[in-house]
Amino acid sequence: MTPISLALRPDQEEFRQMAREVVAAEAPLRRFRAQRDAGATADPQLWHRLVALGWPALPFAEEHGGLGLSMMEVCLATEALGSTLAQHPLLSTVLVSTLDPEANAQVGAIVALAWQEDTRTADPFRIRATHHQGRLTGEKRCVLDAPSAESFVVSAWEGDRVGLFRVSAAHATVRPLTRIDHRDVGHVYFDNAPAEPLPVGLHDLQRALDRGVVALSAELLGGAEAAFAMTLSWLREREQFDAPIGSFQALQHRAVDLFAALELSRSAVLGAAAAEAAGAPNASALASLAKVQVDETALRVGKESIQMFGGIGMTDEHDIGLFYKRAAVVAETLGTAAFHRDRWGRLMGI
Amino acid sequence: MAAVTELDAFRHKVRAFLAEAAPASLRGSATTPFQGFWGGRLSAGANPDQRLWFDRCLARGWTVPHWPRRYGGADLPLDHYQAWKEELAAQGLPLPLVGFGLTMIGPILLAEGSEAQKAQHLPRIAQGEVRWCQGYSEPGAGSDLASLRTRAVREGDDFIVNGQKTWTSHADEADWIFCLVRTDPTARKQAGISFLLIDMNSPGIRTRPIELISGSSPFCEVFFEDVQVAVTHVVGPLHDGWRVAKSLLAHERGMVGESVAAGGARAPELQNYSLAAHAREAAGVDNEGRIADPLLRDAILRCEMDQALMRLTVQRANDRLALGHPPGAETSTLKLVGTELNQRRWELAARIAGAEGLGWSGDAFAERDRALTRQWLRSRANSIEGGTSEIQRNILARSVLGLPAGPKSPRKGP
Repeated sequence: MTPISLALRPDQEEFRQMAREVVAAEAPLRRFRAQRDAGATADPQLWHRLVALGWPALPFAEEHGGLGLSMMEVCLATEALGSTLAQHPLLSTVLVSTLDPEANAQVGAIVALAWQEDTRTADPFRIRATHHQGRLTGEKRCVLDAPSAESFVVSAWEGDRVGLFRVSAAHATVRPLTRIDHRDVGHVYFDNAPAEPLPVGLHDLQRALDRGVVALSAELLGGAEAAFAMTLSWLREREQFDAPIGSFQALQHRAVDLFAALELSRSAVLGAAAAEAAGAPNASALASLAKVQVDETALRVGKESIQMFGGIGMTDEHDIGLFYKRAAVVAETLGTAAFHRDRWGRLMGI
Repeated sequence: MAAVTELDAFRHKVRAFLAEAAPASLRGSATTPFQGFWGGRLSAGANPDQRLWFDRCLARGWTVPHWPRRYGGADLPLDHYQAWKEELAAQGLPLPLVGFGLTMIGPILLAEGSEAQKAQHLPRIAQGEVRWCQGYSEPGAGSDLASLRTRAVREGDDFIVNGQKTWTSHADEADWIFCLVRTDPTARKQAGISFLLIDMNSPGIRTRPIELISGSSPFCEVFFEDVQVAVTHVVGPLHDGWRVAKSLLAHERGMVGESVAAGGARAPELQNYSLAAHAREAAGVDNEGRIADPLLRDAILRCEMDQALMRLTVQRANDRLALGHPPGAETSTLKLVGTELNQRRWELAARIAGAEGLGWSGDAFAERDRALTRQWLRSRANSIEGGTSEIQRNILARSVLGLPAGPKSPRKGP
């Protein structure tokens, strides 16, 4: 067997370039800032444009109306979106694409995955929601895209097994959250809600979460690299003591350490996406590896960048803080670095 | 797609050759690119199976597969050479030939050498007749290598070389040395340096081994006293040695990274050493089979995850190379990240060993634990040798990140 390649093929390089151009045109960073200033957490107009371009079909299999592309392309798309902090429900699309393939039937419909109850663990077993005879009851916390969702895929106990169920938003109560990163998220309450069982189980949920973790890591990598690029420009331009501050060795060495961490992060995301695309047996371990590396790197890039910008980096007017806040939220989404480090160890038998 | 099929066919050919030609004792024995048959005048004492393995590869030009046939190679394209190395690694086989001839002076001569130099030296490297060492560092020229003072003064058709090199690995076993020497004392630093090849059997050369904090080492000092060297042994233009050496240093750094990704050079007693296995033995396991000490387990996980990231990064660089892309920025970080990771690994190993990891000699300490102690001490050099981590960061800051040089900051390194 030829080993899985971590280098982008020419068509994937082309896709990457296309994704970047779309994001630069449709969702520049100033759009996110304007949205935030207007108090918006979702950007239906942007989603409408991405739907027109076919992006929601990216994670779906061809037989379900998808594009037949792999997790590599999905990650290139989320990475591009992450570089400008775009508000988009593509991660939810990724999460439900294998659990409820019919979610793609109505193009651009937002279906959210409601699975987590105790946000201190990402173990999908740790839930209390129940399903009994077509009715679902439970509370799900920090559900991505919940305020915009038309329906939910919900995990719940049915007897002694965890099943997944489709519930219409009409039968759920959503409490939207305004968090530091202004992304669409909310707690969701189901009280005896009519629910339709899906023919998938806990194992499928775990695999779906892995795919979500990889796409989310790619998105955060996009943000971290954008933040680092801003910081590098600043180091070249900002002068103190009659010299660009980037000529000072103390700052140069810190910048190099960030760069090295970003390069390892890129390897991790490519490795996880390629393994996912190939259905490799170590895909789960690589997903966890990517989450840990990218979370920790993005937070470090954020903190170091604010320090290197100095006073201006602390102001709301400057964009650098937006990336730090996004990193802090992602670090608590789909499992923390601590959770995924422990999981990687279990998977590797350590 | 034809190229892929052809490469696959080559892999099949290699596998068939390995099944037939690779001695069983060598399978699973190699963990780093530095392990194996070094060639040279002392090679008679080499492991007989390594010698046999070398001879069988030599018959096919596969001791230097990517070199031209006329110099003893097999003219393999780079992606085939990469596949060859991957197939060997998959079976834990050492390269048939290792050392500075293959990896350093060979590539330099191919790129910069005169036809006479290539014809004289390359076939002897390929055939394992000559072993090379590298003479760069001096007592007064470490990170600031360009301040080197070993001088070569022209006398007719010869240079007379006087001075001292240090940190020369295996100088006492090498047949030839490639050196940086000052040929123009009036020019500014880098401009007066030439790249010179010297026969280690020349009168006036003396070597002395260096003992490290970890005990004996392959490092030596080399003293030159009125050593006579023909001017034809200068590689590249006179006074242009700094440029010639520069490309080689980048190559060396890539090699160090690759070695660490594969587990790093280690003592034979530690070939199969695993932090996790050692920790389970020392601290026990919890009821879920995890290392019982959660802080220790966390430290080991951090180390092994970083190791996994290194492997992915080396793979990414190689995969890009196979697609015809030049080495990217990721390659340049491998030495920096890899050496510091290697240091963490052995520091952690010493921590797991605790008081058992403090033994210097005597059978009150287990053989593995004594080896581990020396490995840990030796690893402190990883961030110094081959360019210190500080110099690596300087170079990356300027050449990859494009940060400006400061008026008072150290000169840009090679």
